Amino acid sequence: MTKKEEFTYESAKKRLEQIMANIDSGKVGIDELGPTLQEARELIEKSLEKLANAEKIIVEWEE
Amino acid sequence: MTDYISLSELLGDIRGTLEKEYGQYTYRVLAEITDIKVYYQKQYAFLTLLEKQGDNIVANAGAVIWRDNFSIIKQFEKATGVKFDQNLELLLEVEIQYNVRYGLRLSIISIDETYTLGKLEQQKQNVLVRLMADYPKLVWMRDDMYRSNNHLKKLPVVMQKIALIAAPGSDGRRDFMHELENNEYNIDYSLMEFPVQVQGDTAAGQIGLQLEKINRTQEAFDAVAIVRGGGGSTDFSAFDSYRVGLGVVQCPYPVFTGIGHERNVSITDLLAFNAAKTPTKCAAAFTEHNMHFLGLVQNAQQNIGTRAKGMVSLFRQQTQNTQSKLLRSAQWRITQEKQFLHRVEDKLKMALPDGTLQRGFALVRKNGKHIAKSEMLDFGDEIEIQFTDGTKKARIES
Repeated sequence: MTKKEEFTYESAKKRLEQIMANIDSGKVGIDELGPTLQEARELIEKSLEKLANAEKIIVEWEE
Repeated sequence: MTDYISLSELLGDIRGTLEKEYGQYTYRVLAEITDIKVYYQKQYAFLTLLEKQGDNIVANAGAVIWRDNFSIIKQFEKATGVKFDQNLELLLEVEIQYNVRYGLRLSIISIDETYTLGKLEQQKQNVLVRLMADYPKLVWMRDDMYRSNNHLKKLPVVMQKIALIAAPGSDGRRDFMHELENNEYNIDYSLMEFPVQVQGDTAAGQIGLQLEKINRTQEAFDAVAIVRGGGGSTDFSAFDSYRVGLGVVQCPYPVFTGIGHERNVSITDLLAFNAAKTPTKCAAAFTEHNMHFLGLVQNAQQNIGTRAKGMVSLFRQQTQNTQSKLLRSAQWRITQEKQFLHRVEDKLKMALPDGTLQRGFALVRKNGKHIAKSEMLDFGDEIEIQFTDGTKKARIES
């Protein structure tokens, strides 16, 4: 049994940069494009959620 | 006429002659007093006046102090601090009286205090000169003032442990203790008592011994107090003695005195670190000294409070500044990250084939698989061609 890897913004960012680089260099074939884009979309959503949480803390702090 | 006269006639003639020759005058006579009988209730005193040469008595006369002049005894004692006592050499003003029954008597009218004080002062000077000669490092003179090493003792910041030399049960001891125990600042004192007699022939020896004992004891004291008070206002001789003076200058602790004589400053007072007039003032000197320390503590307390408030205010300001900077940095970072994610999103959208198909390109699939190169197809293969609006089937013919 392996421990589920915890989502971190930094690891998501790193993965997104990697995906973009793969697409730019043509390494991602059309067949892989769909799943890759889906993965990227999920990473972006989770990352935006993290950023929204951070923003919320800032607003609360400022109040 | 008979060839004799009565004794009373003879003595009466003598009295007449004496009164005629000497009765008009008073005389200042230097003599030693002895055989003193003082009747305090009846208020007169009988004594004998002597003149000596060495141990030999060369002149002797009976003397009396009558009720009219009886107060001169107390006046003399108060002014000089010397008890009107045996073997004292005094300068007296006398009248000559002759009584046929009691004989010749010198009636003392007054006692010259200045002569006695001068003599005491001379004796005191002699003791001080001897101390300076014997212990030049402990007693010396500077600017016409006697100085001792006890004057140079460094006082502890707080004086609480005190060695007390006093007569047990004396008013002086009681006054000293009362002042220490009831000081208004509630300072605690620790006393160790060294009892002595402060009057009489043995007083100097006892005080000297107790000073030596204090020097020898393992206890560490902050100061030594020597007090005397109450009782008679006479006989301060112990405090003018060589023995006690030496004890003071050899004492390793600062000596505070409260010996209680208004006019006379004793050798003990001169050589001690601090000389107060009374035991109460002597005790108060300790509290007064300790007040300086209490003042320092209170000032320090106030300073610490003020500084602490300043530091808290500064830290608060710094924290607020840090918080503002932190929030700005965080906000900037989030903006940056959002921009990054939007860029990623845009780029990924660009990677989707929809736009490409709309521009007139088509996707070729064989058996559901994308065909990227012509070499992947052979003659007769059936393919699907996906356009932006739908799919058509085709066959490879060449």
